[in-house]
Amino acid sequence: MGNWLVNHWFSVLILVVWIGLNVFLFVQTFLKYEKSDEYYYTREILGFCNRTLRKPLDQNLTFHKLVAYAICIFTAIHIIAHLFNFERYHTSQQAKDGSLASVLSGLSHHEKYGGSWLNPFQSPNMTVLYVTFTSIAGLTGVIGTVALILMVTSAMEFIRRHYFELFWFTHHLFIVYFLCLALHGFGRIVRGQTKDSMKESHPHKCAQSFEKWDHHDSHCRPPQFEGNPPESWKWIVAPVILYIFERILRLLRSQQRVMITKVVMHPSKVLELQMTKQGFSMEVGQYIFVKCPSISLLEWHPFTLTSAPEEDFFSIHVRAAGDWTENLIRAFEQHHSPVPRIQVDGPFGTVSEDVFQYEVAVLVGAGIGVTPFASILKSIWYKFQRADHNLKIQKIYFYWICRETGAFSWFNDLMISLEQEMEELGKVGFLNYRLFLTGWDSNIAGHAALNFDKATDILTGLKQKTYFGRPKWENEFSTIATAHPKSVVGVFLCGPQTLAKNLRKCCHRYSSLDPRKVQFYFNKENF
Amino acid sequence: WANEQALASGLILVAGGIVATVGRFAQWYFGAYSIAAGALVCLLEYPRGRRRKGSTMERCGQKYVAAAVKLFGPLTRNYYVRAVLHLLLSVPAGFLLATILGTVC
Repeated sequence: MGNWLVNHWFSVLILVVWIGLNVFLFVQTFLKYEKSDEYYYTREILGFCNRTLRKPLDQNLTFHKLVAYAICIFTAIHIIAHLFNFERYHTSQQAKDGSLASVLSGLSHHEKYGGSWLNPFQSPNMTVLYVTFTSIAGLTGVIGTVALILMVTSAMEFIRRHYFELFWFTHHLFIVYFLCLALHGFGRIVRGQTKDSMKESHPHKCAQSFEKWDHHDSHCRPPQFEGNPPESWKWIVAPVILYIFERILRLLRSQQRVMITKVVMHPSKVLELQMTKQGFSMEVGQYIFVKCPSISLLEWHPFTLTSAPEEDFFSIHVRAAGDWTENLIRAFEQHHSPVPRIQVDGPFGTVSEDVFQYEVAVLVGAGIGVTPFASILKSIWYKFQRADHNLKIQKIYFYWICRETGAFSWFNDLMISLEQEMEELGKVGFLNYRLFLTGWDSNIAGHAALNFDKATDILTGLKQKTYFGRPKWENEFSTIATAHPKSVVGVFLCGPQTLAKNLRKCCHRYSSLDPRKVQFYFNKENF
Repeated sequence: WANEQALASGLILVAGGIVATVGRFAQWYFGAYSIAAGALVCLLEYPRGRRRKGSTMERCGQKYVAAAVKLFGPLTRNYYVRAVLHLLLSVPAGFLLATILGTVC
């Protein structure tokens, strides 16, 4: 637990501050309605009242989900509270027993009294359902909640993973939700006593003598009420403007021309596209969204950039993994002229920009997750060649885990060329890589055993031999910890969640408690 | 998606029903009905159906609930019948504000 806190203290701090602010605002507004005098009579009928508060700030997916859960919880509380309110308003309207509540409810909606009513239920015939669907607050509330529920059910993990387009399009119901939220308070249905009326007949003086309000000689006049101005729009206007600004920016960026400079078809149906775009600059490990209007007008798909920033083009490697990618590969295979047009939006950053800050880096790429490391390794290589002084890295341990190398033979070629260049420069120990094939069978293993003393690996052609099965992380971490007892080691993973959990545990276990000795910091790519 | 939505509406029916019953709203017996109807919908919808192609993750413990669903035979296994059943079940809950959200969902 202590180690986890050290690694994540910043996120924890932000979360604590955010939750604290939410709680504070909730309590403050609650107390305002509970205690302050303008709402004395409102409380008489209702008991108490509360409000939905949430701060729509998006930082990343986890925060987004947290905000969504908070919205759901607060919406539920809000709905339940107002359900009680409506019931109480309804019963007070129907009560004939001359109690304070019924007198307050009788305050007329008539223009003569300046519309100073308190109870939105104007006549005993109005049912709760009627008022809900004819008042602005009720109608926007119901529509907004239905939109919210549809958004939440279509965003469940199961639907997201397997029916992504359904999730994506239903999630745009957020426009309906925010519109309803902004309009929700416009009916001014929550009412408090006006200031003038408070001066004249303060509830502390007059509440007990409510039978006498209409008498000419009483000191108290019937209280006047006015509605609260709508406030929810104030909370959401700034983020909505920011969001609109971002969408416009994205649209403009995607309209810029993309020149395709080279198209390479790799074995196992992998397409490499090298492109240039004016004003495009990238960092390592970033990704771009790609749209191909001739295949689909609405779909944007993310791809990790596989080129280094030092190169004068940017490239992506596309593997056939669904109908859009298959159509794309087929379109480029058929040598149509002109080449299909591509629109690019990005680049968007991920955590791998930190990789140059560590003295020792442990890079783990599982399956398709090896793609950002192509960019990282190439970039490190360029920096190394130019003897870039900003490069703190002394040693890289690269673990590549995949079932079979077929779809990644392009990455294989990259490793071979890196290996050769390192030999030429005489720096063989800089990059240590291990390839783990998890999809091996006895045939492959037997073949490998026979060719044991060949200089290069028979499967990959690399100098380092291929390992079969999964890596034993405890051994790897303890070897690295002993080899670098005083360094800060950055561990970067792009791969499945289970592996992330494993590596995180190892990082915590092998980081020594002494901050001067070896420290492992875990960073995970999020896709 | 219909499965997720139906499961969620079952839960909402139960929640609305609890609010109406506990608060002794007018016509609170609709609330009591809504709790029962919601519980039935949840029971029927909890097992996740298998996708036509690809793998499906089961919800935890769904084996036992699935046995209960199969008990009524074709009446509850057929999706069309279930759809009509859900529609009919949700109508009485529409009479009360606390539970109308469950009806709509």
